[in-house]
Amino acid sequence: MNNNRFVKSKRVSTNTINGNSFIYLEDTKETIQLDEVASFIWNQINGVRKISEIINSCVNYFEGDYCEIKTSVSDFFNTLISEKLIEKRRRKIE
Amino acid sequence: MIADLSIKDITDLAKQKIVPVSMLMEVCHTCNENCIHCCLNEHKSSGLKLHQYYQLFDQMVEAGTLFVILTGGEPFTRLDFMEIVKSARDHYLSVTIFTNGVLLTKKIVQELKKLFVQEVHISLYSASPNVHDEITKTKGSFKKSVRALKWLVEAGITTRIKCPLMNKNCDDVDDLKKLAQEMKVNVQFTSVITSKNNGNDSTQSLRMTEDQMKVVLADGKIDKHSFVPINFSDHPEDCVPCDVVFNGGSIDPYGNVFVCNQLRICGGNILKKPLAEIWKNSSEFQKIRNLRLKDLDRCVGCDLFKYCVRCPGLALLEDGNILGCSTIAKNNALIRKELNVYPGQTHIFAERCK
Repeated sequence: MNNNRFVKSKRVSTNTINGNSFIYLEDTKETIQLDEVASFIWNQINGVRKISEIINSCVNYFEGDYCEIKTSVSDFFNTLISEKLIEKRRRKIE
Repeated sequence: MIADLSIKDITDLAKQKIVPVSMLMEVCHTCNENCIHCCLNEHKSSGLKLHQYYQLFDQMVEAGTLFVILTGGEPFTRLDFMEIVKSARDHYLSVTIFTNGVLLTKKIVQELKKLFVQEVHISLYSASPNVHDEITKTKGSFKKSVRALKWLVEAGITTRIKCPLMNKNCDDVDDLKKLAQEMKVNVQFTSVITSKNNGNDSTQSLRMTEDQMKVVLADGKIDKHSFVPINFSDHPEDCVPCDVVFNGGSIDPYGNVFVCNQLRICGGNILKKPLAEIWKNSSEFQKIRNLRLKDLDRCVGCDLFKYCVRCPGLALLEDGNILGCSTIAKNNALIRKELNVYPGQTHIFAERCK
């Protein structure tokens, strides 16, 4: 899983205001606010960075324990997947 | 994750932090209708080039924008309009479109659905084809706008009818409400026909008469009103007269950034400076932000204050003074006073009171 790359779902509108990311779900009209840590991760989900790279950047930025951060980031990704806020990037056929 | 927020929570936060979270973009002034009440004095500009919109959306994301209203003129007169919509959505901006719907096709509606466009607002001026077509001066336009509404509803896109009321169509309110109900869409009426944005006041003759306005202002479904006055604060004189340029603004087809599409005070052009820089550093915008009710000529202490919905843009456009009394607001306030009803909403901004 950690080598996967994800993109934000097409049903999502999002931006970050004052350090917190806001997500507006266009189909259900729900609004979600992320805290600072979740926003940091959310803003790196761009279809380019692998989960492992995002974990490393969190370790560097928050200067925490690698195993703890890896677990937290993985849990967060699982939540985002189950809430259909992100989807696996489809590989382009060359 | 915190759920159960509303869009208003986001716009209120943006207001506190002075972030342009919601921007209205006129992507062109060209139009396929010729409405008698149109506020535009010319329909020439076809807007920025497509690649400039890509750059503008980058700038918007940087500045903190989340909600974008795409309007015109008629935005669909641009052959590349769907590319603009797609680009906005690729930037994860929430898109609402103001259109007359005439140029919509089933295929376009399906594309809008796939792009998760937030809302589409269709201008419809009456339930009567003749009245609508007289207002648009475009024969057959009613039929095409209603057709678009049907397709949008069928596709499950949130759709709203927009209807400015004037002396020609204010008797059709009930029929239009009924049509909207049958079509399962919301309808939003506005009661003020503004002068053209160059100050030409020829459109004022289209406004409702005093008696017609009384009927409209008495109907809480048309003009949201309250039976108790809004309490701003113990010190209303320190309140901000209008929340424009705190959490949103507008951009014209030339790239000029305005306080709002009604208050055409320009802070800069996005082709010369990034939006975030204009937003933050424009001295014109700062002047507007610094205005308080006590700076206005005679609002605080006016016996109509609690009945009044004053637009600084209209005060400037129609009465020539951004700090002065707005005649149209005053006239409507007099009617509310007579009816003993108060405005249900206001743009006066109390949260930033000192």
